[in-house]
Parts: sequence; C-alpha cells; structure tokens
Amino acid sequence: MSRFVPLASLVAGVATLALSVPLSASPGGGHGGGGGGGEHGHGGGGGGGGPHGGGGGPHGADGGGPGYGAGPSHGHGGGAGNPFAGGRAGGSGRGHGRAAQAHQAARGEHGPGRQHGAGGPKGRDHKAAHGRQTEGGKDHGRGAARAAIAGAAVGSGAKAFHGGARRGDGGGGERVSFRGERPNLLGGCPPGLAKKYNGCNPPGLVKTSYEPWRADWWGYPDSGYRYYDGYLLRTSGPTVLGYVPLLGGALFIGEIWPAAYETSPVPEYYSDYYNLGPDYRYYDDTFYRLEPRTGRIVDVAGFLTGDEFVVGEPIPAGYDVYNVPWDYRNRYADGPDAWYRYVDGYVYRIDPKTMLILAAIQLLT
Amino acid sequence: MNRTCGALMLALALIGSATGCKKHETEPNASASSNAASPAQAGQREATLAAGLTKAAPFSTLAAAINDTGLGGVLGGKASYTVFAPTDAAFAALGDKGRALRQPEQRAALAALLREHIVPGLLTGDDLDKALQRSGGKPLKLRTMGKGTLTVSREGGTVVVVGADGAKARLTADSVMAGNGAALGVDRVLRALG
Repeated sequence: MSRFVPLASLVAGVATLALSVPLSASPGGGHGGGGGGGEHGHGGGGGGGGPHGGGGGPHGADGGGPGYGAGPSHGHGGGAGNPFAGGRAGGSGRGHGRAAQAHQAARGEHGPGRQHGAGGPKGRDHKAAHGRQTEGGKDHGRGAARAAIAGAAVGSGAKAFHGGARRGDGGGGERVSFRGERPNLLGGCPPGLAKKYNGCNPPGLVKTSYEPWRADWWGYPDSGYRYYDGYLLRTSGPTVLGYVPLLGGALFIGEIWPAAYETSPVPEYYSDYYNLGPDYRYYDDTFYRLEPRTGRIVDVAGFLTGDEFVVGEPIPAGYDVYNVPWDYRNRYADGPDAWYRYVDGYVYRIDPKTMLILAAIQLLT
Repeated sequence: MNRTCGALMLALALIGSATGCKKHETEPNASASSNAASPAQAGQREATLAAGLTKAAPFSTLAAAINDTGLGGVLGGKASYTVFAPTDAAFAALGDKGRALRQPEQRAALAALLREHIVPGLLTGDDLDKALQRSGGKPLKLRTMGKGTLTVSREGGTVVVVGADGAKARLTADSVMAGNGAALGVDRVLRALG
C-alpha cells in the first residue's frame, strides 16, 4: 500500500488524519492555486488553501511576502511559503515562502505564517511558481490537490538551496526537481597529489593520452581536462590548474569529506526519500552519507538525474518508457489520459498529447 | 467506504467540509493495471537490486564492479533504478582496457561508466516492448544517471541499446527483478573505451 505522507506536510492542521489520505483522494476542487491547495486548503504554500487562495501568483521568484487566501474558513493552509506552488488560473496569491517555514509546515509545527498563509520573507533561493495551470479542464479538484503536493515537495525542505534553482521569472511553472550545480572546479592541485607527485606534476600528465577515459564521461570537455588518480584535472600542458573530485576516486567510501568541496543542501524531501541520515553531502548529482563525527564517507546513497521538471512545461527528453516503481504501478499506470514517469523520487503525471507535466507526486511511504 | 476515504471524510468534517471521496473512487486511472506486476513477478523479486545482482550468474563482474566502486548503497536503497547490465561476457570483451578499468586507481572511471548504464525507475522488458510498439519504431530515449542518454530501438526481433557515444548492445534474456528496480542484461558495455 502506498501512502503519501507528504500530504501531511500540506495539511498541517490535520496532519495526523491526512496521513492516510492518498494523494488522489484530495478533492481540492476550487480555484486554490499555487501554494494553496485547492478548496480545502491542503496547500502548504505561500497562500494556504483558501477557496481562491494559493500562492504561486505571477510575482517572481524572489517575491516573498504574504500569501493570500489562507483559507480562513478552513484554516489549514499551511502558510508555509510554498515557493513552487503551481498556481492555477485564478490563483491570486504570491506564496513564496521561506524554506524554514516550509519546514514548519512539513513537521506540523505552527509557524508564523500558518494562520494566514503568510509566505513570510523572501524566498529568493527558490524558483517560484507562477500561476501556471497544473491540471486541465475538468480535473480541477484533483489538480489543485496535486499541484499543492508538488509545490510542497520543494517547499518542505528547500533550505536555501541554490543548486540549479531557476529564479522565477513570472512565467514558469512550479519547479519540483532539484538540480545541483555542476561541481565547481577547484583551483590548484588536489590535496595530496602535490606531495604524491612532486609538486603536482604527475607522471604521464604530459602525455597526449594516458588514459582511455574521456573527460566527457563526467560532463566536461575533453579539451583541457584529464582524468587522473580519482580526479578530473584541468590542465594546461603539464600544469594542473584545478581539479574536480570524482565519485569512486577522491569521493569514495572511507575517505573524509574535504571541507573545500562545497555542496548544495537539498530539499528535505530528498533527504527523507533517500534516507540520507544525519549527515550527508550532495555533489554532482550524487548523495553521500557521512559519519557525523568524523565526516568520513560511509555510503553512496543515491543518484539524481540532474534534470529539471517544471509543472506546466514539457517533460525533459529521456523519459520515453514507463518506469514507475513496483509499489506504485497499480495507482499510476499509463492510460489514454495520463502517463506517469518516475524520476528522482517523484512520479510525474504527463499529458500524453502535449507531454506537459501535469503534476508531481511524492512517494514517501 | 474504504478506510482511506473514511479518514478523508473525517478530516474534511473537522475542517468544515465534506466532499471528495467519490471523485477518488472514480479516478480514471486508478483501476488500470496493464503495467502492474503480476503476483508471479512479485514472487521472483529480490529484495534489492544490489543483492539480486550478486546472485545472478551472468552478472558477477558487474556485481563486483558495483561493489568496488561503492555503488552498492545506491542499488540497495529505497529509490528505484534499472541497470542495463553488461554480462560477464560483455566485460570480458573489453579486453585489456576492461581489465585496466578494474584497477583500484580507476575506480572513478568505472563508477562513471556504470552510471551510464543506470536509468531512473523500474523498467521491465515488457515496458520496453510496449513503448517501442507505441512509438511505431521511433527510437526511445532514456536518461541515465550519468551524463548521457541511452537510445533503445528494435532491430529485427532484437532490442538494441546504444550508449551516448555510440557503443551498441543487444538486450539479452538475462534479468534480475528486485523490489527497488531491475537489471536487464546487455551483451556489450554501453561505453566506448577510448
């Protein structure tokens, strides 16, 4: 049986009960948009879930501020500042809340924005949702609910993440997926290599081709980059200009995570879904679990595709085949009206005719 | 009324409204099961892909490579993945370069290579067949967990998989079904080694 726990994060006031409500059962049905979640306010977003509320208004990514339509009659809009709520037509709220508030909603705590759906201060690290319709035509009710769920997917843990977060431009849909930036090229010689290789002049570096592995295996151009001893080196002739640590090389189980390697915090949903534990790093679309006390890598916990999924926009290329995990196949089976694709912990509902993403569904059980 | 719907009704009652269960019950796709696993399939599943690969004879080299690169946690976790799994013969066909790839100092390269064989979610051979049938012969694209895309098509009666750099393999009859994904055998490694 699958349950959609994240719904609880949207229904802060009735979280306990809502835990057993499958996603599809959330009727929504109103004009609640964006962060709002339809008529019944399962919205965690900047606007809670008033009948006409909901965040996701076309006000840009950085537009924080209070969300409207907190659904006073129902009073559980969450108000957690859902920054990515997929606003429906008519949604007038803004709802670009701050991640911290989203956290509160997710945990059923009573944040300041809760009563009135105040999105709170700037959600500038988020790509916003912008009033894009996420469900078409007759399916308004479920659509609203799902839109809210999609929004919360990010809002519930978007701790000032910056990796790949597309800034709102007022015209996009809700960005659900998370994408880290391509690893930064770190300057100088990799730690240890300078000693190991006589001032960072590794033997063989001047050779034209000393390994068959090409830099494009890691998404870098072959020209000027070379694989060497667990790193991708940026070179100029025999000189090492910089480096990128690689999974399986410098980033391997047992290695201590080097402080110099910056990582992108990820939305809490990913942390939960991939069971990342108390200390983790996300780097180059890879999750690493760390031993908190030592900072040592203890496991490689999962991969993300790095693709971006925006409700209301076409699904990225590369998802031509049905791929929903076993446990969800009965519920999310391809049919004439909707296709489903699993990516990075979400099931995306797709319009088969337009290939637009209609909704994003979290899969925590 | 099922328990789920009852819980929903209770929740809605508390918030002053009561609608929605019927809509849930009549959700168009709720009863569709064309892609659902049969009970027989379920009974054949390994707990995890990582565990299943270690037991499957044609994939011993792959299983060792996964272990060597530390990717066992990825394929042993909750998230679902499908591996286009090179058989032992496929790795052997790499020759010296393949052996070099297995050296400890080349783990990062091996990990990068393996990522190009992994795609998100669960794909079965049946899923591929249906998609190919639906596409009318148009090749299918599959995003990998690396940097590239696989292209799947049918040549005669064989399903062919082509890696981002043109390395080409045929789907074999070998497979592993696990609770968190699947491994579909391929007769070549989907990366050209230099």
